[in-house]
Amino acid sequence: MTTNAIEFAGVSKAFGKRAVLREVSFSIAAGSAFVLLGRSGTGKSVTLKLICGLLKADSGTIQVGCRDITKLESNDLVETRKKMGFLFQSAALFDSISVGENVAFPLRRNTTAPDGEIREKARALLEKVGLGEEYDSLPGDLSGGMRKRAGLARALAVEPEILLVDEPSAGLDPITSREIDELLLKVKTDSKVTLVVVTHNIPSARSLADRLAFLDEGKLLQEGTAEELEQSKHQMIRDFMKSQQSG
Amino acid sequence: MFENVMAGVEDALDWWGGLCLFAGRVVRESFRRPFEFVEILKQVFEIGWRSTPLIILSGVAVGGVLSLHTRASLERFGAESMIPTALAFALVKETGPLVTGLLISGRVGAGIGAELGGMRVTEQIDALESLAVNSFNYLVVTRVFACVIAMPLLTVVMNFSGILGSFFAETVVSGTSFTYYFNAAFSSLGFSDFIPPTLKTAVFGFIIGTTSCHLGYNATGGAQGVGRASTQSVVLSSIFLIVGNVVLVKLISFLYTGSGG
Repeated sequence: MTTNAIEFAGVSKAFGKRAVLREVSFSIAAGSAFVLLGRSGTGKSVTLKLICGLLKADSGTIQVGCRDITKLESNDLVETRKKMGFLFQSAALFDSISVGENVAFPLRRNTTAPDGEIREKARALLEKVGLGEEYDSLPGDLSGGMRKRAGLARALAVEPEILLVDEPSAGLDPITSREIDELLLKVKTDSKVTLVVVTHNIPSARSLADRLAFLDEGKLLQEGTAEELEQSKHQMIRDFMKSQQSG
Repeated sequence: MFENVMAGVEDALDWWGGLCLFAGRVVRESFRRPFEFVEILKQVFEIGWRSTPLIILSGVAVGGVLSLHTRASLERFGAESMIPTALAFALVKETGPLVTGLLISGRVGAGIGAELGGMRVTEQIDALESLAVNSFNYLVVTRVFACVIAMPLLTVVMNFSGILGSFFAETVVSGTSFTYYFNAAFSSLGFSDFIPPTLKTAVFGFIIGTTSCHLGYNATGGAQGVGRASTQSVVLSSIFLIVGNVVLVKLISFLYTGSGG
């Protein structure tokens, strides 16, 4: 029997009078890759932030592992987040410290390893994402794709059980975008991490996802495999899947 | 028209409520683990040590100008010998603390507002949280603490620089010796003249730190929002500081003379 890493049950979220998610329910099996699709502004990134506890749901429950994240106090939330990695759309690297120190940051905060070991691990992670030479560079000196890769290295630093990825190919050229996808695929195959990815890029979604979900106007329209979504009864989903076949 | 006024009042109350809750959270989180000692030291260096050249330069200039004005006034009554004492009192009791507060709210308030605002709109604060770091404790409490620690120290530097500046101005005009001037300046100053005004600047530090952190930490609206947070940090912390000073002076007078006046 497969266990669920994440379970949404009747989750709603609004900002002021604007409802972003309405009674959304789905579950993600541990160790699987789940891709959230949908047009811009349909609540995909909000869903990721809800999983991480960066936003509070207005109603419903969000089970992460064996804990309902909507009911956790700040200290327990911190403990739960230690098992998660988050790659932000903008990479969100800390711009006042070097790329290497960005990657070392979660290790310094959440482990008791000695400084030399932390630096070594940060360097190894940067090498893994192809940025071995950039340890001392500042984030501002990197290109968009390099920032994403550095962000991924930072998200992987604490060997998370759940990796949340927001728009990995946004603003990147097709080649760099494919490189990021390959890195994510490698992460997926090399570890038992549960991957939750928000993307508009259908080829990217196909290569990564075990299951996909399509959000529209805050509602979960359909969930299934890529093939199931291609033959959806909803015209919008079929169009969405077709329109970006090439990329 | 009436609805607009009510909406304005509601917004203002909302903002004030937000600021008060934020200040309360700063106090509450100060007692909560983990204590970010390294980050506090780093911020004391950034806020305190890096402000020292500005404070010394301003202190010397303010002291020099005060000396020139005081001489012009006291000369009329043949009381030039009172210049060192009068200036020391003026600097230590009021001018030093207030000028330091205003300079720091300009330099540090703007810096904190822009830095935290920038971090908020580029998702760096969310990134901190996602890395299992209490961002409020790490970014806000440390900065407010650093302001509270740095302000009294910078005020002492300002007072000393001011007296030094007034000595330079005085010695050019009258050739007063260094020993005479400093003896005259400090002989009539007691600890009760020095300690309360200097310690009240810790409250200034709390006001500057809390106001600018509140504006930066809750910034919205991209680059424009960051600019707004930075500007408002300077303007509002300066205003709160000046108003707060009136209350603190009255309080200190009440506590030390029992008169409140």
